[in-house]
Amino acid sequence: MISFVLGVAAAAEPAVGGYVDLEWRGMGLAGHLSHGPGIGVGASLFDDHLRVGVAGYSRPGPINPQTFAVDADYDGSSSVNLRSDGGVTGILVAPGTDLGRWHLDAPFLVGYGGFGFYLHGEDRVTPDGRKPSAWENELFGGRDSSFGVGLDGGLRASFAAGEHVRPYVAARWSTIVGFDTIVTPAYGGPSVALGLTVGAF
Amino acid sequence: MVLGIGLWVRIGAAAPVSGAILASPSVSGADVRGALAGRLGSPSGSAIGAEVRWAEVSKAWIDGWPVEDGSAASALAHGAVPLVRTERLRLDLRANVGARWLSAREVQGPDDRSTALLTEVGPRATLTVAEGAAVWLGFDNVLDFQLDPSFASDGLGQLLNAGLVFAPTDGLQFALHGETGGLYGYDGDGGKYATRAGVSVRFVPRVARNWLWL
Repeated sequence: MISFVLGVAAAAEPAVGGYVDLEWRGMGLAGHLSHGPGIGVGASLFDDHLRVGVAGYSRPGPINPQTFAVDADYDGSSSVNLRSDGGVTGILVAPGTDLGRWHLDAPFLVGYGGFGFYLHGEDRVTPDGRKPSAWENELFGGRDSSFGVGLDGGLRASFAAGEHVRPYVAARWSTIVGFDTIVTPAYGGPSVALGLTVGAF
Repeated sequence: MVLGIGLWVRIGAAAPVSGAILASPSVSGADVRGALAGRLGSPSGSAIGAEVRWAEVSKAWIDGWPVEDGSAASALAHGAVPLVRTERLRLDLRANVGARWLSAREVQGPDDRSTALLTEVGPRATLTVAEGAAVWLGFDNVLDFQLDPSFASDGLGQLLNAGLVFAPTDGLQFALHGETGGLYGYDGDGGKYATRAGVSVRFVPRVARNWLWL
């Protein structure tokens, strides 16, 4: 009889640890306040003096009520109010050190992503029945969103609340290189986050 | 000891594979869903399985046109590989890959049916907090593509998920779970945010108190 086993052989205390980060960010991107989730997963190396992995953050539009007024002839009006959404995903490198039960690190993310602006609410029922994206592309000449290399870096302090659980706070600065839209020529700024790391370090 | 990943073919006696059946009703801002899954776990801790989902949909998209009433059936293959294991923690890489068939009773566009490829890949950390009880958190990278009536991105994003599981007996588990996150699809015409909450009843003969990572 033939059977298969696909798996990972790991010691009780692995030389290479692993972690998952979940967080919620308050952001001051593009000159306004917003919020959204952040994620991370990766390996913990050299007794947790270096974490390498994948990370990202996003700013969902529906949970952020901020609107942005833009001059445009739409449905009998000379301006429209747009909502915004977007996010960045990329590679994370975070050198760090332990201070007692605290761990300080400097997470730096290089990735790709962007932010855009969209019709919302009643404005999504378009005057001629076309899709909202068709109107957005026509009204704003394709400048309703912008994508590029995303940079995000700062400092994070986590507390060893248990062997595998570390709540943390983080302060970062983010930007999208080359960002340019009809609403704003930049989509960067500071953010603070509350999060939780679960892993083996 | 160095971490190693491998595929072994064992010739001889069958490996002591165990199985589980999961029934998971859930509700989101877009649908009410039922899911039934079967899992096979190997002694190494990895698992494979299959899952079928049925949803009554109040918010979906075909070619970017809103669907306000419809039904969706999905069939997915499941795989999970443990990346890190300690006495209390297990960190898995999990994946679901399959297809979804959506049928609309009410749609603004010209097509009332669609077929989509579903992909959900991400990590999950399961932490045992007491004997027979665990909490988990992780996220899914969602990469869904409509294949018919045209090729288009149906949903791209990252959904945070968390849950807790309790095994009152050696054969039964109960779980509560939720997920939330931003999505993007159909050039911005698709869904932009998703939340879901659900419960699970899991039949896990003999190993329910150990297989809290399911």
